[in-house]
Amino acid sequence: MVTRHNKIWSVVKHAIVLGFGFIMVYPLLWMLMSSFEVSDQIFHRAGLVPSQWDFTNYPTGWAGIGRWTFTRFFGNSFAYALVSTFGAVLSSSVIAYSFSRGNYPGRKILFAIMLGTLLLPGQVLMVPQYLWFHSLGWVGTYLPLVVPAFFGGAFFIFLMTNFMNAIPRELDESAKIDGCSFYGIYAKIIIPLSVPSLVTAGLFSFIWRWDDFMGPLLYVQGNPRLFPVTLALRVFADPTTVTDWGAFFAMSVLSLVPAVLIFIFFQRYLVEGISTTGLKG
Amino acid sequence: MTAIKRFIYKENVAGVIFALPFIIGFLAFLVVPMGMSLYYSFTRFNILRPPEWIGLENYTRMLTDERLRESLFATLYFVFAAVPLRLVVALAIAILLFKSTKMMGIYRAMYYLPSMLGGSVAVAILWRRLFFSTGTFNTILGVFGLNRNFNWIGDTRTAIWVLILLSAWQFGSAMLIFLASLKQIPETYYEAASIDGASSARRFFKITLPLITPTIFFNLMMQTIAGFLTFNSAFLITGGGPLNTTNFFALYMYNHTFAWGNAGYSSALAWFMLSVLALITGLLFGTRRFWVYDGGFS
Amino acid sequence: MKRVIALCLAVLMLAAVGFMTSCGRSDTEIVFGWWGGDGRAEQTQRIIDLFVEGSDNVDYIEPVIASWGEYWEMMLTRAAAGDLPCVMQQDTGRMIEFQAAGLLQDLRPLIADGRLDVTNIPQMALEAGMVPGSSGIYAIPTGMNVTAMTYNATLLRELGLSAPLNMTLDQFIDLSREIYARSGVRTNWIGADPSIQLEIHLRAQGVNLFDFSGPTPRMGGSPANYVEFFQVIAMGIEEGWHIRPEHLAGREGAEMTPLWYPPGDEREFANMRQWNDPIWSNMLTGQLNDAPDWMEIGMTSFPSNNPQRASFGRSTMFLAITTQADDLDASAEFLNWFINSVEAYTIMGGDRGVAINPVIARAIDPILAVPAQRQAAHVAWTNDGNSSPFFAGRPEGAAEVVGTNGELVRITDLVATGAMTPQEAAEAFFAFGNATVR
Repeated sequence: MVTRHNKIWSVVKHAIVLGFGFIMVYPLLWMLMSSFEVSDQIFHRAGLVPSQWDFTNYPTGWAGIGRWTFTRFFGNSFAYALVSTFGAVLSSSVIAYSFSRGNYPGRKILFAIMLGTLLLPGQVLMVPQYLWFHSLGWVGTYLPLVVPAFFGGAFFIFLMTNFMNAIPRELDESAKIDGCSFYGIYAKIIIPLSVPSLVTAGLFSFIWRWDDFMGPLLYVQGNPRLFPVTLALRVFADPTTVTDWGAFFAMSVLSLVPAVLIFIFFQRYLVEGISTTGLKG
Repeated sequence: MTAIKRFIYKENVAGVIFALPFIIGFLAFLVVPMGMSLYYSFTRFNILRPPEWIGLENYTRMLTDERLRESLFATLYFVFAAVPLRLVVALAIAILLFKSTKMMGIYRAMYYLPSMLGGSVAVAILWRRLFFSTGTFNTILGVFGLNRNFNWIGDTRTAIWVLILLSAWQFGSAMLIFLASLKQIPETYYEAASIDGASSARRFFKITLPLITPTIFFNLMMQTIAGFLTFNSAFLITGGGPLNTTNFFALYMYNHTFAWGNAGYSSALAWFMLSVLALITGLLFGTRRFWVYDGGFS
Repeated sequence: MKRVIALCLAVLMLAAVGFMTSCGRSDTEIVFGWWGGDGRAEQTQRIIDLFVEGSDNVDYIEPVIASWGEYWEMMLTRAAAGDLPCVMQQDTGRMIEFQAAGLLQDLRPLIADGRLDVTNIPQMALEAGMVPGSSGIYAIPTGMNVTAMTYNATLLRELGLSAPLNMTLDQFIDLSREIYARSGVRTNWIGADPSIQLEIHLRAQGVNLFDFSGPTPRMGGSPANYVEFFQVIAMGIEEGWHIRPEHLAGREGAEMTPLWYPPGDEREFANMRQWNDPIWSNMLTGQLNDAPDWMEIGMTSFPSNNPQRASFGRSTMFLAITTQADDLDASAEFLNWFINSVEAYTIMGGDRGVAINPVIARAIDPILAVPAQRQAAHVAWTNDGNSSPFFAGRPEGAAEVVGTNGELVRITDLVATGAMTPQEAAEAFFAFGNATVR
């Protein structure tokens, strides 16, 4: 009796979880299917399957804005995400090492300040940072977005410090006996052992930068040559003109591909990163 | 030369050298801009021309700024609705998923995917289209013979809920954190409770919930701060309208700076926001000892 | 293996940095900025290519594009960063602000030494590029727009109704009631930009929205002049013939057109939300392009109790050379070519309004597509005694009062939802405006 009850409950539970999950991914599936739909039919269809399959949305959308195609926009996004991720991971690992292994006075205060900046809302700094970069003459380039990445990201520092703290100090000691300096220990012991946390940080950094909208909106808007995919999509769907929705959804789908690929191949790192530090995805 | 070399190889010096990127970045990209913004908050400044000192005028203006009141109301409404909704859904699903191990991978993927993609411009614009008067949401309602042609993002009562729904939809990362912390609860606790004959509801309220309060607190904290600073969705989906019901604080500041040429006033607004957030974070920490279980799992 | 990965990473990084900074800069490059969507971007690119091909000096023109709302936010920030385009599209609503900040080149010297040939540009159009308190010419308009209301002519014909030119406000309201009673299709009295209708409404009373006559600019007239504008909204919504508040003022933008133009071949009235759209004459081209084949779009004047005084034409799509342009000669060459080139106007058709240069307007009229011809005809009709001169300048701070997210939108919403009476709205708006413009 009890087991039967449990079985029914288990089936019901799976049905609920699956059904709710389907509702969750429905908008995404709908977008995917809409990218194969004839543009003027897109919003007259409640179901998923296109009324007639139309593959021209992809080449149409790829043609882009003015003379710049999506090759350019994807290239910009990749370059931006790659360079800033590289900077963020490199610098954050250096800083985390200092917090984890350093012994200098003031280290704890610095670490507390770093944690404080974690709670400090980025958008509160929007205006002053803008004005500051403006006075540096950096507005209209990617510099305001890329350069700060080379000075560490609080989330990543936090993640890596935790990770490095878990690396046994005996390893440092024995390396020191072998003649390794503070620098040597970083390069030979800590970095090779913290690769998983570097990967996690790198993946998140990449996704966030890939999705970044506000940054490019403030600093590189207007010049289609510099548009990342996010801004290109925004101009594409400009509410004051009529939008080719089929082409828009086609490009939207492509814009989500990197995140989905990362999700598929690196799920483990993402889940670990989120579970241990609360990085939001 | 060797003196320098010896100096930088001193362990303390090396430690500080490694911390330098943070120190420099902190000064250059945080302290300096904050100082500048403090100064600007006492000026009239339209970005085009040099700032002009006006004392406390920007701060007194806030007292009578009706749109600021509307914007604060919208922001608080959003935070108080979206954050608990997100956390409750995340926790509920985490508990449902917790034990179903075989399908775990698929479930986790289904629920986490929206969080992963939800921050993108593509999804925000998709959302906008879904809730239009000619949008898919109405088309689906039409299948059931319900109201068509209603513009969900244009009505003062529903617009903010479209954004709340988008935010709740992305509960995946909170869910993962809950899952991780649920897994840390030792099985023995439940076994002991079962032997005592505790019902599953009782087990949830007496064991599970208290033990994950630190996680709930952590999630609440992060999500509240993120909620207060919501910008993209309002900017891309509703533009702050109708009637400022979705004119979130970050968007209001953005408009003052970049659309209306009041960078001075918006600097003052930034400082105001900073104090509000500090206050709320402080309050949250203050309530901590009343409901967060600190005992650990031992 | 590790080295290979490190090497690959390094190469990738270098490539990435190269990608972001490469810009194909050549000897003479100028930057040209305009607002508009995808369609205008493509068409303007063709114009630019044509110019570069024929020019001996300019090798490359870099475009800077944004939608109307974001264009001004962007230009403000670019100006602050010293990064304005060499040649930028300007608007009377913003020129004062930009000129006051010393950002616009006075074009008179260029005109005097012949680098800009304005022999065919009407005097009135040149004056439209001036700002109060200065004798400089800061921009040259390329097009001419008039206030115009487009409407669903098929619907009106089926109902046996018509929307005559120079309708009075009462006629318009009666017509709206009639259409609503017989078809359920509603009226949009304020359109996407309520400030146009408000301006018309004030001008009928002999008042301008912004009054530049005093030492500092202020709102024109008195609150009493504004009441009726809000009353029409309140009354229309109460009686049901006005579109519901949730559809007001730019909330759906052009994306709403599937409603206005019923999708596909569905011709039921239930699918049409509004029968009219008060807007500018150059919008006709785009609307005709989007409308289904069977649907006819008519064009008439804004409803007003004194249409001859209220309606106005406006030079638009100004081109200005900014003081941040590093190559004045090249900029002038481009501007000069643009305002005098039949080829350029042939490419743009009616998109930027009717050509301000009458020689060009005559030259291209026979080859214009039907929409552009109709638009030209309406502009000609309006300018022929059915409008009065208009100074379109807007003071600093005006964007916060009547701009995209400005106070006017908020107050019309408050009236539409019944949260404010027209009387209160008029007073609140007037007071806000006077406290904000400077």
